[in-house]
This record gives sequence, C-alpha cells and structure tokens, in this order.
Amino acid sequence: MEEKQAKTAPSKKAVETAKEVWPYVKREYAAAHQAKAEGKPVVWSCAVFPKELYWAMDVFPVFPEHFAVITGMMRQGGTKDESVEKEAVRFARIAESAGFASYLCGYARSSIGHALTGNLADAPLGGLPKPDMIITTSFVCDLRGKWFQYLAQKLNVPFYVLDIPERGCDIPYFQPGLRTALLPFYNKIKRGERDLFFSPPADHELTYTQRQWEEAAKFITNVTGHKYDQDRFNEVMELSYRTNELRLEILELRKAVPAPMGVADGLSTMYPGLYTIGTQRAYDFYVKLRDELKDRVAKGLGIVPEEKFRLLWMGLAPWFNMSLFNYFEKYGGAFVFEPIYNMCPFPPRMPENPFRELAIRTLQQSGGLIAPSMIGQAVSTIINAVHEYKAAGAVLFYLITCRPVVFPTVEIARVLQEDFGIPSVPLECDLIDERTYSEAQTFARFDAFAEQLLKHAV
Amino acid sequence: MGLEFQEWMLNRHEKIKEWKAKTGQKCYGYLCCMTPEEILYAAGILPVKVTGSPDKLEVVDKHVVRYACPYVRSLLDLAGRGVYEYLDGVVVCNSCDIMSRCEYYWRVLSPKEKPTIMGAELSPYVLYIKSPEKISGPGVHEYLRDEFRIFKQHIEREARQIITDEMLSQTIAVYNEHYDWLGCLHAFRKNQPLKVSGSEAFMVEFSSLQMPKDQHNRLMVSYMQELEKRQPLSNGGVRLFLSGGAVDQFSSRIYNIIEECGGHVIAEDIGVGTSYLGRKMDTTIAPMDAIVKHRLDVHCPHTMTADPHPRERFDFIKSKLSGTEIHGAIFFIPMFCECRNLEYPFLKEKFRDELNVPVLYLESDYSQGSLDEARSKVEAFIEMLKG
Repeated sequence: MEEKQAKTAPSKKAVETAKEVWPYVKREYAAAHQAKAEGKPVVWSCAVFPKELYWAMDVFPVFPEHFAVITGMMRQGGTKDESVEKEAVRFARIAESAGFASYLCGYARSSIGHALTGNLADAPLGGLPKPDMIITTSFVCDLRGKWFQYLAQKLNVPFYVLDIPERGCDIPYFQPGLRTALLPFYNKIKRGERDLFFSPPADHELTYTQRQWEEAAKFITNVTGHKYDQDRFNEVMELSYRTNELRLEILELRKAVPAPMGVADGLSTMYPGLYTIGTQRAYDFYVKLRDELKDRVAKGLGIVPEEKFRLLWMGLAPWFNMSLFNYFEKYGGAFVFEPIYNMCPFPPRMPENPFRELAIRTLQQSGGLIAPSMIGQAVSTIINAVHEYKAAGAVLFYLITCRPVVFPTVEIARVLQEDFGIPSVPLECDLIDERTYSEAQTFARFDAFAEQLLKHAV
Repeated sequence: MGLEFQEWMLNRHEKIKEWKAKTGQKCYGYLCCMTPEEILYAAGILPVKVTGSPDKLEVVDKHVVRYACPYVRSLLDLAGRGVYEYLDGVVVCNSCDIMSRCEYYWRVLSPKEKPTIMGAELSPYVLYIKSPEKISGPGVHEYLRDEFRIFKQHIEREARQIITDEMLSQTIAVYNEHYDWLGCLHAFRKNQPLKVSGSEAFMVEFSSLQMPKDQHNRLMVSYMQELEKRQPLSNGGVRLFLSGGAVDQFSSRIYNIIEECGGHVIAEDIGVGTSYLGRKMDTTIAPMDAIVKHRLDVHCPHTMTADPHPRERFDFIKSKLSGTEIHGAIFFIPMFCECRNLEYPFLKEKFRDELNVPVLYLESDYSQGSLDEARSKVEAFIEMLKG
C-alpha cells in the first residue's frame, strides 16, 4: 500500500453531550483494568452484537475492534508529534510481517499486531486486559470469526463463536415491480414492523440462533463458574430496551432541518449504546443526549450556521481523521446522518424467554438495519435514509479493507444516481491505517462534489 | 480415456449444452461444494460447478467493486455476458462474504424470468442456502437439515415431482461410488513411484464437477484399469501439498507449473471436489441426514467449530497427508480471500513446527500474469527443497 503522511485530526463536535464520550471511554477502559485486577473475568468480544449476557453474568467485556479505533487515533506514548506513526500502523506492520495481508481489515491487523507484541499493556489506555475467554460471532463479516479465533489460539484462552444465519433477503432493489411496490409504502411501515421489509426470520433460524445464545451462556459458566440467572438477565434486557427506545427517539430528532446533530457527533455518541448497552450509565447518557437534541431542535440550532446542502455518510468511520466530517462545513454542507451503528427497533420484551427475544433481535440486526451489509439491504437502507434525512448527496466509504462495507458501494452509487438523481462521492481508504489515505485525492473529490451540490442547491 | 475428462474440463460449456440437448433435462450451476447437489441429481437435474475464466472483464465493474475476489468477479462477468445462459438455476451458499452476495449479483448481472404467482417466484432462479459458519455443536445439524429441506421443496417445484427418500438413496449410492473411485485415484498419488500427476488427477476430478456422476463413474472403470498398467511417471520429484482457493480449469495451471519445476502435488486443500468431499456418505441413516452430515464434514477456511480450543483446519489438512510424506507446502491464495489469508499464519507455523516442512506463499489475482510470476517463485522454492 502507498505510504502517505497526511494531516489528520479529530472532528469538531456540535453537540455538547458528544464531548462527554471520550471521558466515558476512558472510564470504561479503567474499569476493565480494575475488574481484571480484582479477579473478575474479562471477555474479549465484538461490536454490533448484544452485550446484555455479559453484564448479566458478571463478566467484563472489552472490544478489540474498539481498541483498534483508539490505536488509529493515538500515537505511541500518547505524543502529538506527527512524525511518530499512529499505534494502528505500528501494530499493523507487526501483523503483516507475520503473514497477514495488507488488504485485511485495519482493526484486525492492529488487534493481531497488538496481541503479537507479547505485551498487551504497551499500548494506549494501558492496552486491553488479558482475556479469560473470547466470544465472537459469524455475523457482519468473515473476519470476526477467524481473527478472534486466531487471538484465542495465540493467547491460549477458550473461544466461542455465536453463529447467526447469514440472512440474504437480498432481492435486487430494482427488480421489476418490486421497488415501485415497496418504496412508497416504506415510510408508512411502523418502526416495529420494519423487519417485514426485509422478511421475518424463519422458525428454524430463530431456533438455531436461540440455541447459540443458550450455548453462549453455558460456555461462560464453564469458563467462569458464574451461573446464568434469568431475573438478572431480564433486568439488563429491560434497561437495554429502554435505552434503545431513547436512541430511536434521537434518530427521529436528527431528521430535523437544520440538523441538530451531525455524523461526527453520531459516530462518537454511538459508543455507549454499541459497547455498554444494558448498563445504567448508557441509559443516562442517552437521556442527556436526547434532552440536548430536543432543545437544539426547539431552538432551530443546526451544526452549520446556514445549511446549504445535507449529506449522508455511508460506511464505518475513518477514525484516524475524523475531521473529514467537518470538511464540507466551509461550503455550508452538513453531514446529517450515518445509517450505521444505529439501532433498529427491538422486538417486544419477552421476560418469560429472554433468549428467544435476543434471538429475534439478533436476526433483525442481521437483516441489515443496524449494519446493512448485504447488497439489496444496503441499497434500500441508504435510499430510504437519503429520503428520510433529506440528503442531497452521499459520501460513500469505499472501505477498501472491509468486504461487507465496500461490496455494496458500487450498487448504491449506481442506484442513487440512475434512479433518484442523487450524486455520491467515494472516500477510499482503511478505517485506521492512514497509510492507505490520500489527502490530495480526497480533497479534490470533495471540493468537486461540494461545487456540484451547491450548483444544484442554487 | 483421459481425453473425455479433458473435454469436459476445457469445453465444459459446449459439453453441458450438448448434454442438455440430448437428454432434454435441466442443469443448475452451483458456486460452492456446500450445495446439496445430490438433491438436484435425484430430481434429474445436472449440477455443475460454476467457475471463472481469464478473459478480460467486460461488465462486472458496473456492479461489483474491484476490491473483491478476482475469481468471483470473473465468474460473475461470465454470467453478465450470458456465458452461463444455459443454466436453469443457480445455487449460492453462504461460503464467504462475497459468495453470499452472489445471490444479488447473479440476479443483477444475469436476470432470468421465471414463473411467478402473486409476484413470488415459484422456484427462484437463484437459490440461496444460508449454510452455517459453524459445522459442529448443538442444533447445527438440525438447522442445516431445515435449510436443505427448503431447498428440496424449491427443487421439487422446479422439477414438478416429489424427491423421495428412495430417490435420494439411489443418488447417494452413485455418489458413494464416485468417492470410491476418487479414493482409488488419490491412493495412486501417494504411492512411490508416482503413476499419476497432480494435474492429471485434478483434470479427472474437475471433470466430475461438470458431468453426470454416473457417466463419470463409467469412465473411471476403464481409466483405473489403464492406470494400473501404466508405467511410473518419475522418481525423486519434490512432493508437495497445495493449499489454495479458486482453483479451476484455468488456475489449475499452477499444477503444471509445479510439475515443470520438478515438483509433484500429492495432496491438496483447494476447495473443490474431494479435497473436501472425499468421504463417503453414511448409508445407515436417513438420506437427508446423510447429506447434511456429509456437508458438515467440510472443513473449509470459512467454517468454524464448537471446539473451545480450535485447531481443526490443521488437523483436517493433516488427515489429507496421513500415510504419506511431503517436502514442502505451497499456499496459492487469491487476492482478497480473507478466510484463507487469516488462517495462513497459524497453518504456516503448524506446517513448520509439527510437519517440519517449509511453506511458500503465492498470491494470485486469477490472471495469467500472476501464474507467470508464480513460476519463478515455485522454481526457487523447489530448488531450495532439493537442497
């Protein structure tokens, strides 16, 4: 890959509550180290995957994917000296020298390189505490299974993979008759029924997924001795459900014009919900965020002084340079929404069978609403988001090291332009490996795109 | 005899079209060996493996990003250009991130009208099987059996007939005979001195992915008789294990390159045919269960197990090498094949530490150029092994 030294910086947040995320993150890492020191079991697990079972069974979860994000933002020793490469690059080099290809996900390379150093503590925020077990899932991408398996092999800890049927429901969006039949009705479908749009899970899929969750609980018991307690699990699930309702309220508030909260804020404030859902602290965080947004909407406060065009962001985030989300502000452009990491409606609570409830939720998520990855799902999700959030254009993250994110980009760009006249522009690089990023190419594309949208706006 | 196999390998499209014209029967393409092709065969449908070609890509770029497996892009390009127009259906499995998306891509690139009722296809042109990533543990067998049951119902609607257990059992008998023959063939490859090269064995096996299994079985009778009488090929060749993906009628030239450089592939793990599906199906249980059990024996780079301390892919590979000796291993991995690349460092260590053999890593972009580049590396590797 081409090596470039680009100017990178964090994003500027518009929302005050978003500024509280970094202290929140630091508290989580400190708590994880504290838990380990106190002899509490630590599990390494993954994003976009329910966390409630961990809290209910009193094991502390930490996340190599999120830690990789931190390594993409920080340099060795915490220095701001730009001549020192980011930790993600240092770790990725170690993984690559062990035989892992540079086209693999930056998260995976950073996390594997970190594990291969043999000193987990020599990393930002004190690194990750050594796991007592690793639990991952087949959902989202092929990597998360094999990469976590490799970590388990290297660290010699027990491993469990929660297999989830890779649901397609992937009928091409433009199949004759289908689009015209479904799209006009989409906004009329109630939130709780939106999974119908992607077809409900079949019985055998639910039964299998439920069994996978029950086996996960048994696995945790086998490793830690901690028993599963349904009442405790229901408490966590209840809090989780209420937290999700708050997040759905936030999604509605974000549709306002001018946009009360941008993508820079959205990708930051997803942290408590994605990694600590089921805790009181996550719930409290979203109460505060929701209240702030209500206030901003009431006052008509937008993220830019005068919104000239609204943009949708498709993909994960270029964590090494989040300032890109402020780039269009000089043109009056506002990044208003990112259809990723946002929760779909949870199924109704089923206290008598919370594993069934979790199975339904997991399959709904794999249906594409939380992390749209199958092509048809991704195309329809983006098209509907463009309409709901009144975006004039989209920036598509051609995440060259992430197959599920990069696969649908070409189809999204094509359908957006050909069928809806909505232009898009690509950003091509990795999530955290800044060696893959070209500042000159990106800025040239973004400037031309902004001019195109401004012409249209006039 | 070998010529007939070669015909089916190199002129597969024409041979299949001829077969269809002659028999009046249907033909389904499949992308991955997780497909329960026995169900198709039992319904009188010819299952054939869909593969790529080194042709210049013409239409795929409009739909499929270039950061994707070059082999899958190639086969989708062929679909988009109408080369696979003769297929009456296509079966896609959840074999990896790109394969599972081929349900969409194939429909977009090669749409085909099928009868519909109230807007729903009676039997979809592209069928998707959500094969599990986990191949062991509670509930896996039952889940896959249900997936195959749904698949069977689609095929029954397509074929307008019920596929009975008896029909499946008869099919299993044909497939078991096929595995027997291929077992005999592979036994020859492990013997010293060698009587059959890796490239020839691949051709024999690959042709079985294109032609009806009963026809292949008949050809194998006289082929094996010929092999018995054949003089040994050579002595002293460097004995190699080949691991890799996307090996088909084109990229299998890697076998010839290895042979031209003084090596012999004596066993492989290449994602097609008996490199996965070598074992016979269980005839003591219900036929559908036998098919499911057989597929859950497939340890491909995409699969995982319920083992809390997994190393199963290495054990699976080691089983391919039982009773024989190798001097080295070649990993021939397509670009963007994440599953194979991710397991490579672990397997490389195991080859080194437990089998005491060196490993060569070759990255392929599924082009003649990358085969040409591979040649010099293979040559140097074999020279090094010769000492």
